[in-house]
Amino acid sequence: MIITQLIMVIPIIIGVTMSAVGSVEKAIREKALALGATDRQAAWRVLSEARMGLLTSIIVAFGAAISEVGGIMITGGNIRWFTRTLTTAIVQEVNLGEYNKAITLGVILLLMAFAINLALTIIQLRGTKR
Amino acid sequence: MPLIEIQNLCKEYSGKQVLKDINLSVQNGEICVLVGPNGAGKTTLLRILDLLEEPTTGKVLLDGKEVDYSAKDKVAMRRRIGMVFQQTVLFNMSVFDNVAYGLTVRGGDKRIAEQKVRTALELVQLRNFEEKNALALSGGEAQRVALAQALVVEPDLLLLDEPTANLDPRNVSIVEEALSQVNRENKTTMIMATHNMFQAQTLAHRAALLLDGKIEKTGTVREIFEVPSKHLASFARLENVFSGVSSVVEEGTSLVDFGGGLRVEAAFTRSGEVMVYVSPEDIILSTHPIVSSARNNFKGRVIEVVDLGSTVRLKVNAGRMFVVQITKRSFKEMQLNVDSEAFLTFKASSVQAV
Repeated sequence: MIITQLIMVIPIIIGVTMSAVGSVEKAIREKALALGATDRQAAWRVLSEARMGLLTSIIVAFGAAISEVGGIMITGGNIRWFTRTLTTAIVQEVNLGEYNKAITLGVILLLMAFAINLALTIIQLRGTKR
Repeated sequence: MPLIEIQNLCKEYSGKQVLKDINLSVQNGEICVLVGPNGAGKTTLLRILDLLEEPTTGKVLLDGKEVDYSAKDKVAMRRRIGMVFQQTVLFNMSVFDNVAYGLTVRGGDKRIAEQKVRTALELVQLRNFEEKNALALSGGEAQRVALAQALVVEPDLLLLDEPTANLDPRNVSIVEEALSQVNRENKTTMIMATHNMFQAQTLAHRAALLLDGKIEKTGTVREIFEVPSKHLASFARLENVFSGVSSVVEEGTSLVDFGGGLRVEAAFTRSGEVMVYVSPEDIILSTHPIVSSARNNFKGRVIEVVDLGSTVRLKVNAGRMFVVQITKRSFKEMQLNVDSEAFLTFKASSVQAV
């Protein structure tokens, strides 16, 4: 199940990271090299400059991972205390007709996603203002 | 022995020759300017010298030793060279950390590095900017930080790709003063691409005219700029280049009519449309008409005054816009200001056909 989640979010992380790094890569890398950096130091500088983009990729990937249902159901099932997640639990409660429980879990999921996104966005905004 | 020597260097991009058989040597402590229109290959040449690109053929010798472009580790060679790009690129960190970056990647004593950063920032007149974020600076300040970044590592060779192209006169003056001081005190060798004739004349010892990927001419700055070619006039920021209709008046002299009642006497014999150039250094500026052997005397009004440090550059409207450069002392003594009346005097022999 964890591997499934990884397979599903890695392309998102790579895609967003590539676009973030690609936008600063050439100019920053050449600048660092011209100032005497080694290839490794220059690569690190590029990643540091693209840190806000990297954070964006984490936010997007987290959103995709926490809301995933289908992949988890297929590969992990929905075993209590073992492979059950908030999303699969919601599906199960809906199937059992326990709508109150399902909505409560849904609200918890939404609040969690909101809180984590808010925290990451605040970090991102602070980084941009620096 | 020259610090840097370029031999038969060519560069091709997908079959298109960008640099053709470049041969140039720059002596230790010399400032050499590369002048040429956009696309002539100036930036490519500077990038090759900074080992950011490889030449297709030919070689570059640094201190007599051939630069190995295929070497995996070019760091040692590159650390002897500093480069200021035309487009300012700074890191998202404080001005201090930006300037210190070159020293940080080299390692070494932090206290010495701090002192060097402070000295470099003083040189570009950004002493109190250390804690500011570099991305919050104005264009001029950012370019001065970029210069400090390159200077702090005390390079043997400094490459400058039109470092003042997008700056206002005050920032240009600060950059030029810093470059001049570094060259004078540290004997730093510099190769600078520029379009600015004044800058070339003020700073450089030698110039190379680069046209369409080829070095057309090398010589002193005077040799390159004082007899400007039509080609040079088309791209270089040449002031005092005027077009008019010339008619021969007597043996050896012509009268060039610029229109609007402005006529200039020139020591050449040519008829028809001409483009002429008057060196700003050849124009005498006075507050009253002067009696002399000079054939050209015009009354005008000062339109613009630019403080360049030790000298002052004035634009005087005398029917056409003339640029004159005088010392600050003369400027103060003459008590000139914007809108002051001024007289321009220059000899017929100072008027050159382009």
